[in-house]
Amino acid sequence: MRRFWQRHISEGDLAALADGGAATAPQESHLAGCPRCAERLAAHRRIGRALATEWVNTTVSVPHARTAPRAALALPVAALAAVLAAALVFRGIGGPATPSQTPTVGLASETGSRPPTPPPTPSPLPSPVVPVELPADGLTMNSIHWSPDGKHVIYAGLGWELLDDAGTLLKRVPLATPHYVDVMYEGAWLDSSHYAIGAEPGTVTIYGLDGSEVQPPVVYRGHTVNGPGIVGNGRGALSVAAAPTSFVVWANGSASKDVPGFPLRWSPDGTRLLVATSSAQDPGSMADGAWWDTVALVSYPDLEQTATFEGIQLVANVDQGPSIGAFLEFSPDGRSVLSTGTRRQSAPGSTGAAILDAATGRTTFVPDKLGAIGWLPNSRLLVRPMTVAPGPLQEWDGSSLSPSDLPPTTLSVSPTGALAVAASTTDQNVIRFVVDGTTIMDLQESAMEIDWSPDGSHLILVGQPPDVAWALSLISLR
Amino acid sequence: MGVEGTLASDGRQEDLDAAYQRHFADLARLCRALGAGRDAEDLAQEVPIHARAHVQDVRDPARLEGWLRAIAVRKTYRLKARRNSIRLGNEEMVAPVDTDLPIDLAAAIARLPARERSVLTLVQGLGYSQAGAAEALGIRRGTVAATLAHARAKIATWLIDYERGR
Repeated sequence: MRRFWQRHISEGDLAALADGGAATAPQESHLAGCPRCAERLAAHRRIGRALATEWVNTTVSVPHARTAPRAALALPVAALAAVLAAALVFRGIGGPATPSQTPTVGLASETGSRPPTPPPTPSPLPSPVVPVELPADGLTMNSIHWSPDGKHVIYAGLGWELLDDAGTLLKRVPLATPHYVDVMYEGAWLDSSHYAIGAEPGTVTIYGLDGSEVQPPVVYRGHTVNGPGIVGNGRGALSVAAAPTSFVVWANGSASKDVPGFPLRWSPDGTRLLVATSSAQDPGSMADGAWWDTVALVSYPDLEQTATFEGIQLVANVDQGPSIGAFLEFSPDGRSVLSTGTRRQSAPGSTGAAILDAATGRTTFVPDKLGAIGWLPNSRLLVRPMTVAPGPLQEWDGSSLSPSDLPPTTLSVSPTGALAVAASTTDQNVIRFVVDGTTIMDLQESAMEIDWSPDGSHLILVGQPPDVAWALSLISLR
Repeated sequence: MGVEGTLASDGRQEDLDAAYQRHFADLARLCRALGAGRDAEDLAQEVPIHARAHVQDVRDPARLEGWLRAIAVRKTYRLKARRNSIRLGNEEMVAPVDTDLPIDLAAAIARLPARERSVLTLVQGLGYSQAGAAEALGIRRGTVAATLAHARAKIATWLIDYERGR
């Protein structure tokens, strides 16, 4: 499952502010205390002004270095992994980033070449953990799915790839070139041995790790602003959006009847499915900047609606890539759903995190001035103060708060709770991995997303290493 | 879609030809902006060849312009894919060149991935609405907005890195 957080003001919001948008009170507060966002806002303003000048015909020397990393995929995977791992170790001890990740197009108009980036600060600790850099990037591959047993992972987008937990590429449909294609791929796991790839528009193919391949007679019409519309329960069932407002469940070789709703998330035990209950609402205006929908729970296998959540809307921002479904997560015990973009229908101007009770349909908003980080293994919510400087974390059970021992800068907690990932307090571009209170590795990256394997032994990090736009790294913590 | 909202079958070719005449200059400009260079007008002239063969697929007359643009975009990218396979080097494009930035903004735009570059060019360079760019590129409006943000973020990063390194 994807887990998103927003430590800084998003680049979309910075661009909007640079173009004359009004800052919200939290944004103003953040900008006052965050040199990074203030610097980036200033850069966005200058770029906005430059982009607003006249565009004319010009000629640019393009060495087509962007194709180099893709060409490298022709190498044997083991050799490629070794090269990347060696490069990362080199980079980790202060060497430059891998050339293949840094297309060299002259940017400096005065000198004709871009000055070298200062080498990153070496990690203060020797690390037994070596990230494996994955060939895709965080822009062309837009979803990551671990198998229920954590031994395989799919990422999908303009192409798709299946890897094992060592980063070995097992199967793929390469990224389309040029990038304008009619097909967008999405992945899901039926169980630990079978995964589905939806090719939008139209088809779903179910692959077995044993090499089998089945194309069920299910029409896939996914990828609304609610989400991809293809979700597996890990126990053999696959829900597939057949239309923006209906879905079918494929299991045991047959498809169910059409059921109202758009599939978003299965409960951990695979017996309930969270669905959007209407097609998402587009305000039609960037001023609001949000889509919203309402949700309900559908039981499985009888496919009856068991709970509706009245009086609230679930929201995603137009200028942020994640869909509405990306902001939803079942608690480990399956009793609640965290929605980080929730607003009351009676007060649509204010959006915050809330817990949806799966049994009663009741919605409880996270207390004011607290933000949700994510679920803990004990099914309590880890929350942080909404302040510029990191403050002490707390656990919330829907009614009461209790102190947490986790570091104030915690970004994400593994499903087992044994490991936290945090940004260093001195440099927010460092991701620190902490196991049982001991730092085991620092990575010179700005983290955008972390996808844990279900057992917490692996993770895929979508981040921004120095001088690399976006990169995917597989990290094994075994 | 009601009958009144479709292109009348006996009038489709006429509607298409009229739309094409109106939008030829816009299509050529679009092809040129996306890197077709001197082939831009030739590509724009090829658009109706494909369009005539598939005009029956267009049910909503209001979408005819967007459909023609989408064809032009695909033809341009096919051309560029063929070019890239046989020659490297200079690339013709449109970009702001007279800016106050210390970096070469045209080179920075050329460095962006194809999707980001095209979205930026259509929205910022050609003045398309986000919905119009989405239709021409065959992607969602939300994707256009997100891609714009990604593109500007990258250029911001390059600008900051450059100035830190000076």
